[in-house]
Amino acid sequence: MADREQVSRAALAWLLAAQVIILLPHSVHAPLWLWAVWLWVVLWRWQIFRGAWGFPSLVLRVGMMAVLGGGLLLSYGVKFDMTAMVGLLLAGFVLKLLELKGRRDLLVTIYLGYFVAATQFLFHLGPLAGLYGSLSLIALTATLVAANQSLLSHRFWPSFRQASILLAQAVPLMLVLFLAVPRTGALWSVPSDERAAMTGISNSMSPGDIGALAQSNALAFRVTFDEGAVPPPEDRYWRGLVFSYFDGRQWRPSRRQEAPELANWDRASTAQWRKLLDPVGSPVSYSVMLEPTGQRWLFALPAPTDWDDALGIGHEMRLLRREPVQQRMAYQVTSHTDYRFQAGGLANWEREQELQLPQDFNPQTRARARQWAQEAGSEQMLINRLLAHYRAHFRYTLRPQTLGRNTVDDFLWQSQEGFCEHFASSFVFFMRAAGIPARVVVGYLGATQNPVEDYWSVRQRDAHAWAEVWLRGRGWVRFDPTAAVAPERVEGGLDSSLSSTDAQMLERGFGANLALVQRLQLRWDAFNYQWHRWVLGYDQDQQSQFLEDWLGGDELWRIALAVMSAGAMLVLGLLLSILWRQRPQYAYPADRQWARVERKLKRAGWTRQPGETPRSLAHRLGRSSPSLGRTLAHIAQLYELVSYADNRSALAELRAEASGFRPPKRSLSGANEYL
Amino acid sequence: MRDFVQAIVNEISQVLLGKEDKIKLALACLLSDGHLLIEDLPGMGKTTLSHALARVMGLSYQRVQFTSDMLPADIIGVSVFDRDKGRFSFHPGPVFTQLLLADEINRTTPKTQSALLEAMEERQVTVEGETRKLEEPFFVIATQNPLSQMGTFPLPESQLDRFLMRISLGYPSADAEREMLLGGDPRRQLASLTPRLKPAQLPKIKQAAEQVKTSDSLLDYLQRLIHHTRQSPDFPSGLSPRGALALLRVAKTWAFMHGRSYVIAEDLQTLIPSVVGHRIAPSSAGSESHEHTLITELLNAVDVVGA
Repeated sequence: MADREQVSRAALAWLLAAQVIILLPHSVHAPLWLWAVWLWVVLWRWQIFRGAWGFPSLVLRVGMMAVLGGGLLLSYGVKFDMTAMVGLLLAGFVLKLLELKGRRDLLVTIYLGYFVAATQFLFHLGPLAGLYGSLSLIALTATLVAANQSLLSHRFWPSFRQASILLAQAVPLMLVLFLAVPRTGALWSVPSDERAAMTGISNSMSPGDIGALAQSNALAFRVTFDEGAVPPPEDRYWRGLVFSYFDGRQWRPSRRQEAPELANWDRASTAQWRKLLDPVGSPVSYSVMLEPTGQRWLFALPAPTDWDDALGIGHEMRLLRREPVQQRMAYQVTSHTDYRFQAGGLANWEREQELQLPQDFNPQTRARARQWAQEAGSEQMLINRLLAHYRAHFRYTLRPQTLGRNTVDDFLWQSQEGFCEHFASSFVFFMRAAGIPARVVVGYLGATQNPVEDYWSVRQRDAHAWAEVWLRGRGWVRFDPTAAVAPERVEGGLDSSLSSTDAQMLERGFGANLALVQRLQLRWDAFNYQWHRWVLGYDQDQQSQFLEDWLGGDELWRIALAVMSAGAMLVLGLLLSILWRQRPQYAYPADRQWARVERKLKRAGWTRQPGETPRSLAHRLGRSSPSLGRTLAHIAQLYELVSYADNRSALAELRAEASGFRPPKRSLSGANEYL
Repeated sequence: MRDFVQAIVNEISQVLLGKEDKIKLALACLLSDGHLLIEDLPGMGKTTLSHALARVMGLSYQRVQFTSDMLPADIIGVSVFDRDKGRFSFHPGPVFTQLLLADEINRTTPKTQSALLEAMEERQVTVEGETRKLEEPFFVIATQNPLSQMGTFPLPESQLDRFLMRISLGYPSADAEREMLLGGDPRRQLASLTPRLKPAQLPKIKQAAEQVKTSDSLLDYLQRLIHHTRQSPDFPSGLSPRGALALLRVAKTWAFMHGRSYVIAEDLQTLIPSVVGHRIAPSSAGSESHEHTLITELLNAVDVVGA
């Protein structure tokens, strides 16, 4: 019975190796006791292999499954999300070892293994994960190879070699499938892993939030500017969120700002919104590759004037997406960094919204604001006076004193040290108290260029908060109170604006000070970027672009033609290589020259029998054509000298004779040559 | 050397007309220090050839006519009690000579055959516990009738293998036969042949022949031939390594006899029927033509020129 065939030692060893390889990347999220289960199962399996123990009975197996299920329930809770399901799959994969009786079971387990190996991509998508996935594939295929080999074959590595060769041979096909098969959306969507914590700007801002963010070196997004038109540092404010509602402690978007249906998604309403914006100067085009944020807002330089169709724009000039960004996504934006927005005036509701203040908070600031507003001749003078106040007394630090209930009062008139959110928050509060519409804007400030590839990275440490103030006749104007205290924050990024003790708090990655390590990190980052851009980000648009570039269009016949001609080329190449390998190999130079002579003879109609030596051939042909016989006899003699006497000097003469050899055409009367 | 060989051949041709090729082959066998088997019908000149060779090479020789009632002692010798001296003394048999003509070797019983064959291989005989060296050089030229003839005991394969070459003479050509008919009994002329070689020259010739070059290309051809005999289903048994060595040894002598310092493919082709023939198809009775076909097929099938 084929399905009851024994499992060979090599196949079992490979299966265990493959299991370790497949389980390893899941250690991040799967419960650690799964490893204990695995070890126990392997021990049992080993005892079965030795013949010491038997296979577990049905009752025992059901019991084990129940215990494992219970364990999973305990580890994951009742909520069955993707991680828990993967855990269940892993448990099944491990337990399957105990059911492995014959070859058929082994094959089933291997095929299951391919599926389990694919689940690691639910959690990791980087180039290293891709490499690791290939390793899992090789290990599984090696198991398959070992399973199909003789039971007596105890050797471990030949299967690995063969599996690698097999998979390497499949690579061209894989590339063709990847590049040419039409990209559809996912057939099933993976439920998002909501528990996964994502670093990034959140939907509210209270003191210390952005300061905490500044300590993370994680990537926020990458930007590629078209045609190298990079805006100057003071214009690299990446707008993300607008906070108009303040409850005394926290800044939040207003209810209107939070409602996605109020954003402008279609052409008509967008056109309506565009009337509020008055772009000046030349545009900047760029594409952003955003790391997953789990949020719906996107980042762009103000003011965006053109963007991808799928995106929408909020009333307060923020780009939005319908679904939260769970996967890395790319989008294209054109911005005019010089613009006027809502210069025509604010609607009443809007004015109200941008002047909102919580009732009984920060009385001191309210009073001071009213007083300064009366003393100042204009809004601009009031702003200048406040900025001058910041400049004169404030310190920019990551570790400010804790603030009391009246955060703005404490900050503005007592502690006078803080991070950007303190400055932005107090500035907006003060403006509103003075009767000027203002709001907090949160996003990123700055970008670092990767010199290896032509793109800019924006990291979480670049997170920033600033203010926008509505001035009559000018619309919304950006003011960055932080810049008043630490102007180098705008110019040179976070590092240059902090004291050395503060700077030590920042996450910089290992060996950031070593030039070599830094360069390697940049290279790796660049490679990562390309991987995401060309492998993970290879979608329908990119595909049609690719096909357009290489085939001149993405019609089916072009793809079919390309694949078929590539296949034909491959087959042709194989044929040629086979022919090349089967070409006559002359071990001795004399034989090569003689072959030339013989080819010429053949063309002239004379053939040599295999057993005929050159000399006897000369003798035989000499009977039909004496002159040919004489020439051939000479050649035969040279051949003998070179071939049998190892006479090197005769070789040149033989070569000359062979190339100058012109046998006469064989006449019909020569048919009696055998006589 | 070529002239020297020609002189010998001419000398022998006086008694064996029109058989220069065979004489040369026989000479090559003896110069290669090998034993020769001549197989043919009675009256074809087998004995004449062996006598002539012995004379011309200046060797002492003995002739034994094998019969069915011969015993080993008739060849090797016997110890006889000498009453005068009161002890046994050994009377050496005909084998104690330089050239032994074993006429019609297959007429005798296997027991007697093997006594001779042992002497051929070991170049020594053991009589009553005492080992006696044979003379140096020691050649055996055996003749045998075709196996189909009455009263013959075929030589087994292992013993045929002891003979370096086997040749058959065949009928003389019409011209040669006419000349012979006119000239009278060739046997009488044997006495008039002059020795052309001294036994002391033989080791030198052997040594010189060993210096003959065998190129890689030639060895390739030889190996292709051997391979063919072992692979082809037509051959009952392939050529043994000893057979291959023998072929190469004779080929070197042959090339040396023709004044060449290297062996060519034609040397092998010329010698194969004589050297290989009795080694690959020995046992099938009356199979001379079959064996001939096999050798022809071998030579035709294997390409001389390396691919």
